[in-house]
Amino acid sequence: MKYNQYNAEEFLNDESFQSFALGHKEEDVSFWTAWIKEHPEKIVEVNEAIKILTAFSIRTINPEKEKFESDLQQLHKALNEQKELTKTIPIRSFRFSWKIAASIVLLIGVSIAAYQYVTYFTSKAEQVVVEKSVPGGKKLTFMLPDGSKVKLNGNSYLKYDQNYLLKQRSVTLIGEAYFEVVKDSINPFTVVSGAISTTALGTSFNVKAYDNENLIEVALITGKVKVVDNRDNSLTLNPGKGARYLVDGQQLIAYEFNSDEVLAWKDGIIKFKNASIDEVSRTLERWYGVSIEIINPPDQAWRINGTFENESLENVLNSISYTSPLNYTLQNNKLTLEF
Amino acid sequence: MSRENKEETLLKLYNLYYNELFNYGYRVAQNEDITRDCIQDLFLQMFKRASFNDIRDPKPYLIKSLRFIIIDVLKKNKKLLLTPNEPNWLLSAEDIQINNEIDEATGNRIKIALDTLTHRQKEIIYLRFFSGFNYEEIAQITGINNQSVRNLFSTAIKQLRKIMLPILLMAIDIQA
Repeated sequence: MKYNQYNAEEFLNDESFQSFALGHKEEDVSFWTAWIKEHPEKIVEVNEAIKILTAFSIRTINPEKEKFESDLQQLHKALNEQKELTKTIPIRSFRFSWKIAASIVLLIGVSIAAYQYVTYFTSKAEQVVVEKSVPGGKKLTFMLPDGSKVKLNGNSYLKYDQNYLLKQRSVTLIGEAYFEVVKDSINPFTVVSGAISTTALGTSFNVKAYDNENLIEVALITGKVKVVDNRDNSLTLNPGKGARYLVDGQQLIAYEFNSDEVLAWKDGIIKFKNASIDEVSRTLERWYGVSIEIINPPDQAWRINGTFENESLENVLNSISYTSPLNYTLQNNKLTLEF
Repeated sequence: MSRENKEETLLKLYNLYYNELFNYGYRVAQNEDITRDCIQDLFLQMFKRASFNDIRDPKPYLIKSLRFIIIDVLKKNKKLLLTPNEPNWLLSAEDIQINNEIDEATGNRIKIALDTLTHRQKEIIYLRFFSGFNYEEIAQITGINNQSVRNLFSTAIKQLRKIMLPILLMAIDIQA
């Protein structure tokens, strides 16, 4: 029999011998136990091989029980969601582009002035677009399918694919929103806003990207995000750091921000710090859902500071008029400021 | 295969192999969160399959699939963000439990010996010693051919033997 000729190294490389030494297979264990008894002349080689194979064992890492339990529960939930999704019947005759559909629905949304407008388009079973839009003067807090929290500011619009959990966690934003992203190291979370996209694994951050402003701002509160523009310039942000994108100049620059100021909107606070008349009027339009016309606008040097917590428009205007005389008239959501 | 059957099978496999998958995944990813998320992903992907009939033996299949997913994620993360880790194989001094009969000097030698192995060799040693996969299964999992697995294992074992032999022989002498 060939085993008679084996040296220690050959025993080491023999699968069935390994299996015996490591106790993997019952049949190998009984075969080799018997064989060794019959071949005492090979004891030196056999012993050496066993010693090397059994010299060490590899440590088992035991995942924490609670983590296993919570993973198991999550899997249960995810499997159930999958079942729901696959039940959706595809409506093939209505396979128009969701972009066109979205614009139609947006028009309807505007005409009925819905506070919150959520739509599901079933163009294919796989693609379901969910849209949320908030008119001026309102705010909306909601949860994405993965449990991430979003607070949308006034005059803002956000859309995502209902299926996004299973593919990529990606949302598109016009306007301003604050995100608290649930951690998922496989699926990064991405906010696409105009020319830039912001990617995170699990963080909280604010994105301000109104389409009538020349500036897109990303402000990171916790965690880490990466901001990339459409020319592949990128910035990785740490907490307290922000990224500013100048739409005209197509420039991406880092800046430091004051989180009280950036996040004031989500707590119902208006903060003006060295604010220009343009900034003031845009903020008031968004906040109170009015459109503003300015007569005799002040010059570029005009700046204002102030904090308003859940104040009425009238109170805000009265305060401004203390430092900078102005008259105002409000009619049918049209506000006229005269300096 | 009905959805309920599939779900039941998957949850059974999950309970059965979670530990094995976690141990393997952790050594590839070197990150607990990534490992856990990838295991979830693996089972969600399994659920999308029409049936499991073509899977002969679930254990090597699951390990192999998890390996793909983790390496993909590591690549993606490296390109995208935070984790600079290459998919390299972690089997270090802390992973080795020295058997009771072996003294500290031998233990240290084993650790030195392990450090001389390549990532590939460490993975093969792990799959053979810890998980008990045979050469053929290891070839399937790692995507290298059967003969290469044998060669890699053989050179690894030779290396371990070379470094450990002096000490082992000493022990034998004392016994004699």
